[in-house]
Amino acid sequence: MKEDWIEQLRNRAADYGEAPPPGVWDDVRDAVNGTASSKPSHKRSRLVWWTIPTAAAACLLLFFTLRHSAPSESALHPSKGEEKALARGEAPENPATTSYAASSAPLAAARPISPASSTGRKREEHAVFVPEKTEILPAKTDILPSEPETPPTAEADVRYADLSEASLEQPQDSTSWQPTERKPPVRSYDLVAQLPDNGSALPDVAPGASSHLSFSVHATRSMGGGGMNAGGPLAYGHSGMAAPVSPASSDYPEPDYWQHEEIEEPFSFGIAVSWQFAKRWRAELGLDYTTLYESYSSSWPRGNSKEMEKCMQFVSVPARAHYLLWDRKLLQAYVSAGITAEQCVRNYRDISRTYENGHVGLRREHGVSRPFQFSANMGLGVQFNFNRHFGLYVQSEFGYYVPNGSSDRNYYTEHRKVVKSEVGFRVNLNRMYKNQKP
Amino acid sequence: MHKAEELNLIERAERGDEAAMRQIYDRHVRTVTAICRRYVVRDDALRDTLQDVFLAVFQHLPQFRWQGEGSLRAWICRLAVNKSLDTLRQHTRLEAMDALDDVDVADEPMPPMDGVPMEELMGMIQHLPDGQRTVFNLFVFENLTHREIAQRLGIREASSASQYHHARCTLARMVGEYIRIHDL
Repeated sequence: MKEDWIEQLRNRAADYGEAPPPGVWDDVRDAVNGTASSKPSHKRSRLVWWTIPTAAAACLLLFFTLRHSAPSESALHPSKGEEKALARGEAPENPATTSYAASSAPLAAARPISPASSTGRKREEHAVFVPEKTEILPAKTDILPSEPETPPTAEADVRYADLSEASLEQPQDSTSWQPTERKPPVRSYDLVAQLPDNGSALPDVAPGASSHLSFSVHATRSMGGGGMNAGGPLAYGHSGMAAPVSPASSDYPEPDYWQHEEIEEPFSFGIAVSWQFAKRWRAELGLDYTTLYESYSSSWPRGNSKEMEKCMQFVSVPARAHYLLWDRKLLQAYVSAGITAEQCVRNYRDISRTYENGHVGLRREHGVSRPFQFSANMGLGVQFNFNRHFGLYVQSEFGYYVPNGSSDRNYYTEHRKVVKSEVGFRVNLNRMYKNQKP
Repeated sequence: MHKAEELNLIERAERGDEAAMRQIYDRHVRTVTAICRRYVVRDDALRDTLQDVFLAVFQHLPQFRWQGEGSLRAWICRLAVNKSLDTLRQHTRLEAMDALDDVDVADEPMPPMDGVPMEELMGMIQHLPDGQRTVFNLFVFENLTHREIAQRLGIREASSASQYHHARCTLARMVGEYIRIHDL
């Protein structure tokens, strides 16, 4: 039995009304028309502050997880035992079977080389990598013999010289090498992690209803383009190749091809935010960091070999629009399309040359690819929602890299069309599902 | 409002007629504001809540079944309470409410409120702590039992009763003070 004053208060309240704050109707009308954000920024900010660290942590975790799943670089470097041998000034016992030369061992066998392949083709046609700066790598120089027993020869003198120029001159009478035909990729490897997309546990926003803000982390794997290939004249790792020069006195002239190349497809990670501005539409803007890694090697008899590891790093801004095709509380499907602008922020190559007597020359060259790299992407995705805030999605995407006139050949310039599979984790800042009753 | 007129208004609003929406808004916004204000004190949060309420009204209007005069108003008021509680949950952990210590709270009788303007009474209610105010509103204005309030807020029934007891005593003191000052 409730008290009388309660009944009295309730009756008085029934007829009581208050003027709303000014501008409420405008907010409602804009939201209904889908032209305004659903929540004022101060309301979102609390969610944003705890979501950003969560997304960043997930991104880092993903980055390191994917990074460790990438092929190890150790296969391209001499083993400890081999380094010791080199430090003693001894050539590896069997260069053709050492780990860093193993992949090129079959190619290291003497093969006739067509004159055209070694002499007819000008290095200038491909030497497009313009070193900005060349530095000696101190960390690796300890494997150099401290004091060669023989006095420095022309061979030793050029170890740290500008090798690009020196390597332009190839012997005219090369007869023992022939480029091998490039085999199709036997394995592709691509990992791209991105943060962003709104993915919203895809809350439904009725036409004109409130918008939704989301963050996501995702990883992408390309279908082809990378892998380990036999090199050849068409191997794009050849471009800009400026390996330490071969000794002029060698009976086995240095091939001007990379006999073996290993291309890792782009790996990127980043953050992005997306905004659901209509019932089925959302826009996404991200910031990604991408690395491209390539390694090349060649070897030839008497322990001669050369390797190059090339690394390019990009910062990119992807912009996409997503359209929700199908929506159930736990599962959603959507298509997406957009463009990405990438700028190379770092570009370097580590080049090493191992000589017959075990000498190893190492150096690093820096270069910059200045033009923006634009790409257009479209894809199809499916998202599974764990709850109102978190969802996992898989997306298949086709990308086309627009020619940008870059003189530096890289993965993008050689693989204009790429198909990627993307796995992502989305954090949705909105709490309401489409079918949630008021 | 006649049945035909209200049904016509609803139908037009469902079709997206902005004029009809505006009419519905104008007819109910003062009541909705008063309800939301009882739960949500901050002006910015109140504005958000009002936006959410009317957005939900127009979004879910097709699901509304007209059941007689006043049914639309009752439906909108129910939405207003739900949205207000949602807003409150974003700022307050209502489930953390616990039974309050009754030692210092005398069981004061509620003074007569006839002479106290409704605006003043609403202002006094708004001055109650979040937990007490929420339970008080649900108990007094929504006519819920303590069991129902406990289920709704995810708290214990004893906590609801205790919060209400404190709210009632605090309000009684404020009303008594108002009567004394204004010599009513």
